Amino acid sequence: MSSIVQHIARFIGLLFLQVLVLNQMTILGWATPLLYPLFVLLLPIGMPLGWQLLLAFGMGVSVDAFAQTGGMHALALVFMTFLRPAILGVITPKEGYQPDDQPTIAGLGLSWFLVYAGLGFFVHHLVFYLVEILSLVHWQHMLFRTVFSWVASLLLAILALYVTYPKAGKRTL
Amino acid sequence: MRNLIRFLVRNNAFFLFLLLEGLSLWLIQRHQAYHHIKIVNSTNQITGGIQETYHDITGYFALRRINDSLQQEMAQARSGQLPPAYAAQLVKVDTVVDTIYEQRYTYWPVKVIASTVHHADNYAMLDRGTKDSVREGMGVIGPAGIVGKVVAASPHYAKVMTVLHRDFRAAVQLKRQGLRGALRWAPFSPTQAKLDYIVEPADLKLGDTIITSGASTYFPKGIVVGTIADFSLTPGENFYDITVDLATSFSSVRYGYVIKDQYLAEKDTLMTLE
Repeated sequence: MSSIVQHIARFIGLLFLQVLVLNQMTILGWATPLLYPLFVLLLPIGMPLGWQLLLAFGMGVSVDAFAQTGGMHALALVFMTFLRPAILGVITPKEGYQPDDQPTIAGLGLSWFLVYAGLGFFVHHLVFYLVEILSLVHWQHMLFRTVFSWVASLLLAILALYVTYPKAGKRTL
Repeated sequence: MRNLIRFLVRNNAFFLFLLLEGLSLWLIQRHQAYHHIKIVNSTNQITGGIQETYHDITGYFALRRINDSLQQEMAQARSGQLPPAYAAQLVKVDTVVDTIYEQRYTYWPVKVIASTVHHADNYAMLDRGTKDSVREGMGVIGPAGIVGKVVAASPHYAKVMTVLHRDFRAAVQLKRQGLRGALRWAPFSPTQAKLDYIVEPADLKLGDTIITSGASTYFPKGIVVGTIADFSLTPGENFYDITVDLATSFSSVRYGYVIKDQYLAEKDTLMTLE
């Protein structure tokens, strides 16, 4: 029960952090951190994919409504969400996932989370910037921005987890 | 066949995925066709409201800077650099010159409540819409120079295609030489644009000012666009490759003016006469 409240709060918190703060930021004029995919990455591991996709679409469309980007955020986030089971599968711990495992730093460790979130954010950012530019003429530029923004988002995601889960320090690496 | 059905049943999330991606694509496509959207849909009223509140709060932090630029603008207005008037000259045989000034352009003050600089195509949002006669096709300038064109307006908000958009074009000229050209964005730079169609040989210098030429109905003549940051001439080419430092800082522009050309209808009628 409390976890549902937690997810709703995270949805709203990340949405407003993204549209009111992060979207106004450009790092060195090159990239904007896109932190909202963290919402999907932190959904329970066992959640039915259909629900995940619907929630991802809701989040994406909300960000789009503020950023005036049509459906670009929605498209990228739904794409990432669809690949999430595959990402989770690739980096399954030796003993497999336990029923109460949380896909967080506190739950599965920092190195696991780095690979997990790293892959997730990369897929999302790549699709997003590809759709935004809608051409392959400027592919170097697109790739550069993807990587730039990806690093920023990933650092921010880890920072956010350490801030909101102070106990994470107990199980690093 | 049975395998196919089993595949479909087991993968219904896949069809949801396709459906949602299709929906996203449709939303993107609808958004890209911005000039077909005469009315910004109702979600913009909601998000616009929230963004406006946010702007009101953060606006306080920018007050000092806004004050400075207002003062600068006042100084400019005092020295008569804003072109608000159309000079109608009547020259009579007895050489009495009667100059009357008739108001041609109207400037409406607006707040820029949101703007982007880092997207592949950038827009800004204004806090005035059709209720204040802001319409599609009007030019927008800021305290430092041109900002963009209104592409859609709802009752209370308007959406502006800024210079930082791949479809943006403006008729401009070099202030000193009077040579006319066209301005387009230098894609993905938040501060620079390109000046096309300046034929060689031309006496160009770094730092030369570029102003609007008044050839389009969006901007009156003489609005500052930017300065030449770099130019070169490829052997065999007729036109210079000119890079322009834009005068407006698109990431920090907070207020501006929507321009209405009173003679727009007249000009349009004349153009369609032939």
